[in-house]
Amino acid sequence: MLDRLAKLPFPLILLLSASLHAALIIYGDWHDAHSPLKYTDIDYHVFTDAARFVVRPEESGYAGGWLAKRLGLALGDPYYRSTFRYTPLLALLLTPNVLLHPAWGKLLFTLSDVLISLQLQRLLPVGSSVNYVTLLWTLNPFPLNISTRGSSEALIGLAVMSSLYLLKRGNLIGSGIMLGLATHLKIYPFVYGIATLSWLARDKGWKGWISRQTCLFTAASAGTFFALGAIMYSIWGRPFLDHTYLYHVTRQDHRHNFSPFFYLAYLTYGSSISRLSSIVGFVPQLLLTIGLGAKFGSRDVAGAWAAQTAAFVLLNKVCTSQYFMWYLWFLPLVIPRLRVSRTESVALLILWIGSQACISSPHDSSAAWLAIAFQLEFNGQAVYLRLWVAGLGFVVSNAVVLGRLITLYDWDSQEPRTKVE
Amino acid sequence: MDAAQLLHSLIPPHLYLPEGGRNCSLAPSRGFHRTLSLSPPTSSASARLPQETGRCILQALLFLPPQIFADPYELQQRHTDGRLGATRMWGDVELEAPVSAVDGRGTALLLDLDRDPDREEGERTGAEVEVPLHLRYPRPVGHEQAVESGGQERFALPCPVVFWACDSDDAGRKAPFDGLPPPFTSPYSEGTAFHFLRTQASDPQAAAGAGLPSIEVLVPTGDSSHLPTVELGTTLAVLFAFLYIAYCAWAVPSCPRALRQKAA
Repeated sequence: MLDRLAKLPFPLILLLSASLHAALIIYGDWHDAHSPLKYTDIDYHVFTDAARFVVRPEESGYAGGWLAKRLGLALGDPYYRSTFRYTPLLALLLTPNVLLHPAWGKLLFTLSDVLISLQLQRLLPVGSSVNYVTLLWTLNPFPLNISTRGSSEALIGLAVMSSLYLLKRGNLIGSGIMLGLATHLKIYPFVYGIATLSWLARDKGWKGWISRQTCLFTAASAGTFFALGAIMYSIWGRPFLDHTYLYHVTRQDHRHNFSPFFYLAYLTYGSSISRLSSIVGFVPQLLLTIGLGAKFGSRDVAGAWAAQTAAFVLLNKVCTSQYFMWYLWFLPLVIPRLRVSRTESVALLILWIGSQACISSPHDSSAAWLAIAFQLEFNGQAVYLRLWVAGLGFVVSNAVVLGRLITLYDWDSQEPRTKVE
Repeated sequence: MDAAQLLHSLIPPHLYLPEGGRNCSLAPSRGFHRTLSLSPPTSSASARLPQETGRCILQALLFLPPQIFADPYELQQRHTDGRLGATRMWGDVELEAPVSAVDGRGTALLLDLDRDPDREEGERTGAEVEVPLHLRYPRPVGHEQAVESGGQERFALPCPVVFWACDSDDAGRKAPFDGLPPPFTSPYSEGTAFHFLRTQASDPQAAAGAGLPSIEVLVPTGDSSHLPTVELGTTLAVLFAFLYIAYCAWAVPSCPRALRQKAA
């Protein structure tokens, strides 16, 4: 059946994907109305509430930036909704949730998924099959589920893939703008800038890093990021900086997640941790993601971005399954260039999946993360240490997988020449 | 004395209706996500309000210790869905922090259970009501305490105080809710009349020795003696990941000159 799917014309695949998205959105609506266990992600309600507070401000919840006050803008404060830790741009994009229909945001995320598919298909080398795009993204149940449940990751994916697509087309300004937008939406894409500069500077020595092309790209990306930030700050003031950026830098995620840092955060919450722990929580991640970008960006931008993302997620102080989306959209581009045997690919896949979930007895101390997390969250068992050990296993096994993929990746596969301004 | 105990002590016995009490229970018995259920006792007759009562609302007031909280957005969603009455909360509702980072006084939740539109009928049994609650991560304890307690922290969740709040012409009437400590502030105007229904915790869950109906709640707690191991282990895992990936990246051969020239 997979073979048949892979051979269907791509427009038909896109139509099928869009239809599946729509069906899941409709189903989700019905499910939420009839079941106490909701299909829609709690984050979607957070986004919608924030959008509501923007268009229908509460008495003490108006935008507090200098520009809003000067112009008397009747815009509300999205941060009136607690746990909304995103840019006001997201709340603005979802105001039709309040003004038109609550499913608007899900449709927007669905459209993002479909557009990512289109960009992926155009990014594949000439003559390459679209099988990978079809199977790894367009009809992949993971992004289907994530987007139709109302997670906004596809928006970041669209900005990132647009940046890559425009870079490959030689449109440096457009690429920089999209990367700036992606970084505004979520901080981590800034690491792609290093890989991009490495790509633009390839074979030009140190002068390549200060060439017209690199300066143009840097100006476009940084300019977009700071311009968007300035606009948001001027309207919403300090809460924008606090919730969109500073919160993510200083957050202490004490509740369990894949990262082993959770238990450290829980045991030391409110007190200072050792200097070594502070350094370990930040420096390796930054050095690795920047280093991978600098080393491999000049050889293959897509591969470099994928490796950077995987390293960033793996070493982040918080890691949930939504973060996997951040490298999932690169898979159709990188998998065709992996020189790995079927046996090893299966082994690596089992290792990656097994580090998160395995079916075992609740009393089995070797049970992986998801099984133990269930014991903690729903059975109320004091298994913090075991869950932390499973988190260590997650980090170690994912590092092995990423290391092997970096080794097996064909970084120098020849592609059709691309036009560079 | 906390707010729940104080309120319990301030309610004059003559204000309790003889029948129509409520059972309170918490399910499931373990885990971080629970549902508090208020249900009429199966064998009880309906409570009759005194004939002279005016327009009345059946409400429940729940004092939540800092270890457990209600999500106001979730309650609002349930109200919109028609599954829960209107709610009002007092106190700092922090949805993400552990116990050590929130106001030790906890929060208060007022919930509309039912309305009595027909004064002459004067009675309403009320269906079962379910309130979703969530537990915070408790403060970690020392190893000895963790072993002794089986890794669980215990605390008592007071059963809600259930009552009819009725319009009254008696402006001088003093309410038991006046003078309760913050964060709660009485939302009732002067002269509101109250008629209380007795609540009791389901037997297996009743907190022993408590002066007021309450449910014993267990929540898993971290062991602070793990900290050195956790610091070391996390550091080693992160360093392994960093060094291994960095080595793999370093070991990748440079791009062959011929290929570089061809690409250029």
